[in-house]
Amino acid sequence: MQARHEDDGITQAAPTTPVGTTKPESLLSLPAGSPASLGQVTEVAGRLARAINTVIEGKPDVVHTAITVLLAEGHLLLEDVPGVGKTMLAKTLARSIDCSVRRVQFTPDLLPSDITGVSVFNQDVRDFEFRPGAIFANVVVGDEINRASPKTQSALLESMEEGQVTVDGQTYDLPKPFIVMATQNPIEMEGTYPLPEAQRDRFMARISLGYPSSRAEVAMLDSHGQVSPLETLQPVTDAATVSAMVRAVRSVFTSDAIKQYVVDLSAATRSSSALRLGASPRATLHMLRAARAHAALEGRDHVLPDDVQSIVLPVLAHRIIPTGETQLARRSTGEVLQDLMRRVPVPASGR
Amino acid sequence: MTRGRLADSLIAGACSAVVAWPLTTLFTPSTWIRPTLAMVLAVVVVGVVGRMLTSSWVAVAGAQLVGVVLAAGWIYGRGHLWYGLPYPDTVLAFNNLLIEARETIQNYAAPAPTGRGITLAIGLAIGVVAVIVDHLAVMRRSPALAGLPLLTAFLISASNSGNSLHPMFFVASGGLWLLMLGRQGIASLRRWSTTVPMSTTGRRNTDDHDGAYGYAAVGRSLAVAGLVAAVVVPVVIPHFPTRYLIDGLGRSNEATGFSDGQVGLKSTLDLTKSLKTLSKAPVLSYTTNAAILTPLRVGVLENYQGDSWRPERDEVDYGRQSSVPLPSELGDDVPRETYRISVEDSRLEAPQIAAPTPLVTADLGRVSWGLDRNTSVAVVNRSVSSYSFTYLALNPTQASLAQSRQGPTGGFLREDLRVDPESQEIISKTVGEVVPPDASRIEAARAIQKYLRTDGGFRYSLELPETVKNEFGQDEAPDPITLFLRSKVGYCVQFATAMVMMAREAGIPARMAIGFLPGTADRGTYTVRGSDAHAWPELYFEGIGWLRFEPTPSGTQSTVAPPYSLAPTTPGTDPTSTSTATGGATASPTRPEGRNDPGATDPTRTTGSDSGFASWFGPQTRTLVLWVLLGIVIGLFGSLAVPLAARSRFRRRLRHAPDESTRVEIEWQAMTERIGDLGVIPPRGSTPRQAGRFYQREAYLEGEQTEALRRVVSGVETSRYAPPGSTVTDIRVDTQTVVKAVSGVRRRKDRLRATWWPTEGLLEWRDRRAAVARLVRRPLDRFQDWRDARRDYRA
Repeated sequence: MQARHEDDGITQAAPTTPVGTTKPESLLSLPAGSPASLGQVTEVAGRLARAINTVIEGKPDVVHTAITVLLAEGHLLLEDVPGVGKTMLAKTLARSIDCSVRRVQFTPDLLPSDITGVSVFNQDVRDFEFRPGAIFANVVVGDEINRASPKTQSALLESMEEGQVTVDGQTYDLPKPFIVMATQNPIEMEGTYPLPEAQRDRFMARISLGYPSSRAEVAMLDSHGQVSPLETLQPVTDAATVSAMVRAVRSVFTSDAIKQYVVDLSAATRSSSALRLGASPRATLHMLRAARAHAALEGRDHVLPDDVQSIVLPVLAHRIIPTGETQLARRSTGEVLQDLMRRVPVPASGR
Repeated sequence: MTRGRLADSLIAGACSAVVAWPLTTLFTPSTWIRPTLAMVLAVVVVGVVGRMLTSSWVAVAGAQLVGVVLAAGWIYGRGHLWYGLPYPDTVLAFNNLLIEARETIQNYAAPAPTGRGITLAIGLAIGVVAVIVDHLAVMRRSPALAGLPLLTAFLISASNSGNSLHPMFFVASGGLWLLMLGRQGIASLRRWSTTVPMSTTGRRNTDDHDGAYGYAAVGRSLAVAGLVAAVVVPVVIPHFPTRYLIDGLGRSNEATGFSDGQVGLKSTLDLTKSLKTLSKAPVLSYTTNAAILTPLRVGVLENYQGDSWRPERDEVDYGRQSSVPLPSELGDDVPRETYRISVEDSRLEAPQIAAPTPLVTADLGRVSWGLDRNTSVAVVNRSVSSYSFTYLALNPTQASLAQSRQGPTGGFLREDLRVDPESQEIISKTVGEVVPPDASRIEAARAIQKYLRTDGGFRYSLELPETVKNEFGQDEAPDPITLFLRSKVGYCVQFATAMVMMAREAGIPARMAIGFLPGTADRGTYTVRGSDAHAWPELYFEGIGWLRFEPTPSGTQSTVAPPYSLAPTTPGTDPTSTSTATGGATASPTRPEGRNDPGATDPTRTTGSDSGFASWFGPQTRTLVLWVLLGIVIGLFGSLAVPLAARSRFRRRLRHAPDESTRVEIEWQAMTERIGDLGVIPPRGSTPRQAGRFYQREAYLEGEQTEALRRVVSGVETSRYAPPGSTVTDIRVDTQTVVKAVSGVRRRKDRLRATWWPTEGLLEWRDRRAAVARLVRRPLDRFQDWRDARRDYRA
C-alpha cells in the first residue's frame, strides 16, 4: 500500500478525501504479486460494477468501459456537458477501490508543479526536499481538466504515459495501479483550453455519460434526494487485487489474427479520406490492451474481434481528427469509425 | 412520350427499313415494300406503347414479336385466319409461301419476280430485324450494337446481287445508323455531370483532355483510322469467290429473252439439244384453291423415234361441253380431292391449253375444246386467254397402287411399252440393277424415280455433254438415252425420257408429258413463265390411270415429286423436300434421298396435304433436334462444370489441410460462400459472431438450426482466436445444417444460382486458368531471363 501524500503544499488543489481507511467485510482482496484467475476477474469486476451502478443510475455501459480501462492500465477521459455525473462517476470508481485517491480541481491558474510536486528548501536538513504533487496516488481524479492552461495540462504527459515523475532531474515512481480519471466539458464550452493531441492520445478511452433516461432520472431523484449514496459506498476491492487483475488481463491470449485486425483498423483510420489525423501506434496498443480487458471481463482467455470492435469507439474517437468536409457533413468521428469497421475485413489468420 | 422514346424508336425503325432497300435490286416489282414498311411500323408502335406501359424488356420484346406475327397474319395471311388470328392453317400457308420464296431464290437470277412468298419472307425477316434493332438501340440503349443486325440484314440484301451496289444504299443505311448513334450518344453525354464548364464563347479549351473533348478526340482518331482502313484493307485482302444465300439470286445466267406475243411449247422434244435460254416471259397466270400445286399439262408424247419424241395427230371431238367424263379406268376407291383453277392471260397457242389432270368440269367460254381420244389431253380449236377447270387431285392408297400388278392390257397401250431399241441394252441393264426382281409395279416405278432423282448420282444441268468416256477411256457419242444414263448429266427431258424408257422396260406403260411447273405466286396469283416449262413421265396403273412421276431433281427449276411416287415414309422425313433433293444446280448430286429412314414403313402416313409442310420442316427439324440435343448434352456437362469444380476444390482443400483449425476455417469459408451464393451476405467487416447473428436474422433460423449455427461460430472463434492447444471441434455437419436451413428460406432463383453457379467453383476455374497462364508464361519468362543474361554477359 502506497503512502498517502497529503496536499499541504498544493494550494489550488481541492482537498482530497482519503477513503477506505477501514477495511470493510465485503472487501475482496487477493495476495499481492500473483495474477488473478479469470473467474476472480469477472467476480471482482462484477462487484465493482454493481457498486458503481448503485451510485450512477442507468449507465451500465459507461461503467463497464470505465472498469475495462482500469483493468487495461489506461487513463479515462470523461467528456460531457456539466451536470451529468462525470465527477460522480470518477469519485465512485475511486471510492469503490480501497486505495489512495487524489482529486485535483483544474483551474486556469493551476501550475505544473502543483501536479507533479516541488522541491522545497528544508531549513532543518539544509537541503532541498521533494514535496510530491497531486499525481502521487493510485487514483487521480482530474476535474475539469481543460480549464487549466495547456502548460499545466502538459505536466500530466510523463506521469500518465510512464508512471513516473521527474522533478529537478530526480525521477520518482508513481504507485501501482495508477489511473487518471479526468473530466472535461466539450471544447466548445466557454473558458476551456482544448487538450493538445499529445495529451488526448495518452487517455486510453474517452467516454461521455449522456443524459439519463427519464426512469433513471426519477430513480436518481429518489436515491440522491436526501443523502448522496456516495457517502455510504464501501470499497469492494483494494489496490493489490486490482493489480492482480491487471496482471491477469495481461495474460489474455491474443492471436495473430487479432493483432492483424487491430493494425488493419489503425491503418484504415490513417488512410481514410474522412480523417485528417488517424490513430497513432499508441492507439493501436491501447486498443489491444482494452480489447484484452474486455475479453477478460467476459471471462474469456482469448480476444475476439468482437472485443476489439466494442472498444474501438471509446478508444479511438477522441484521437482521430476529421477533415473539414467530414465536419461540414456533420459526421461525427464515431460514425466514421463505425463505417470503417464495417469495411475492414476480419482476418482469419495473421498474415 | 419520353418513356416510350418515340424519336429513338422511329429512327431505329427507319434503320431497319432502309437496310432492306438494296433488295429493290434483287426483286421486281417492288411490291414488297409497303407490307414490309407496315411490319416495321407495327414493331415501332408496339415498342413505343409497350415502353410507356412497362419497363420490362422481356414484355416489350415479346409484345413486339407477337405484333410481328399478328401483322404478318393480317398482311400476308388473309384468307388463312381464324377470326383475325393466325392458326395452324396460317402456319401451313406461310410454310408454302416460304417454300415458294426459297424456290424463287433458287430458280431465278436477280432480279427475281416478287411473289407472295418473297414478300412474306422479306416482311418477316425485316420485322424480326426491326425487333432486334429496337430492343438493342432503344431498350438497351446501345445503338452501336444494333449496328450488327442491321449490317447482317444489309449484307444479305447487298451481297446477293452479284454486282457492286450503288453507294447510296450504304450511305442511307450507315447515315441513319450514325444518326441513331449520335442522338443517343449526345443524350447520354448530357446526362453526365461535369466539372468542366461548357464554353460560352464557342472557343474550345484545347488544354482539356478530359470529359467530352477527350471523347471527341477519340472519335476523330477512329474516323481517320476507319477511312485509312477502308482504303487499305480492300487492297491487302485477297478476293474470295462470291458466295450467295442458298445459291440463289446472285448466279448470273443469261436469264433474259423476254418475248412478247404468243408462245407455244414445242411438241417435238429433241434430246440432244442443250437448253441455252430460259425465257422469263410469262406464259399464263392462274389462281387456285389447291393446297398442293400440280404441274399443268399441255401435251403427251408417246412416240420416241431416233433422238426425239414426236407428237401424233390429235383425234378430238370439239365441243363446248362443261362436264368431262372421268377416265374409265379410274376406280371409285381412289381417294381424291376436287380443286378449281382459274387461268388468266394465257398466251398459249391453239391447240395447246395448259390444264391439270384429270379434269372434272371446264369453263372455256365460247371456245370449243375437247379431249384427245387416245391421250385424254385437252385441246382447243383456237387460243383462249382465260378459262377455268375443276380437276381431281388423286391420292391413291398403297393398297390400290399395289393391286396394279398384272401385265399390260388393251391394245392402246402397245405404243406405251415400246423401248427405244438403240439404248435397249443399257436400259435393261440399269433396270436390272435398280428394280428388284420381285418388285410390284409401283415399287418398280418408285425405285426408278429414286434412282434418277437421288440415288443414281445424276446431275441437273442445262448443258449437255457431247461425249462420254467408255470403259476404255475413249470418248464416245452414243444415242442420247445411253449418253444420259452414262454421263448422268441432263435436264428434265433426259430424266423423264430415261424414266419412261426404264418403266417400259420394267413392263409399266409409260409416256412423256410436257407442260409447265406451277410457277411462282404473288398474292395468290401464280405466274407461269417460259422457264417453268417442264417434262415428266406418266405411268399407267391399273384401276387408277396415268400417274405423274418426277425423276428430275431440282435444278434451276424446283420439281416436287408427288407423294404416291415416293416410298412410304413418315412425314418427318418425307423426301419430297426440295431442300433435301439436290438443292440447286451446283449442289452435290450424290446426296441420297430418304437415306436416314430405314425403319419408316408406315404407309398410311404419307398424305398429300402433309408433304409440303413436312418438306419444309422435316429434315431440318430432325437435324435441328439433333443439334438441340447435342447442345443440351454439352450444356448439361457445361453446367455441371462449375458445381463439380466447387466440390472438388472443397474436398481437395480439406484433404490438404494441415490441422483441424485450418479445416474449420475452410468449412467456414465454404459455408459463407454458399450462403453468399444464396444471396445472404453479411457486411464485409463482420466478425464470425456478427455473421452468425446476421444469418440468424436473415434466414429465421430456429431451434436446432440456431444451435448448429452457434456451434459453428464458436468453433470458428476457437480455431481462429483461442490460444494454441484449445480443442477444435469439426463443424462440417453443422455447416451443412445451416446452409440447408438458409437455403430453405430463399427464393428458387437464388437456390438455383447457388447450386449451378457457386462462387467456389468460379474461384476454382479462375485458379485453373491462372495455372494454365503460368504454364505458358514460365517458358517465356525463362527465355527472357536467358536473353537478359546473355545481354549482360556481352556487356
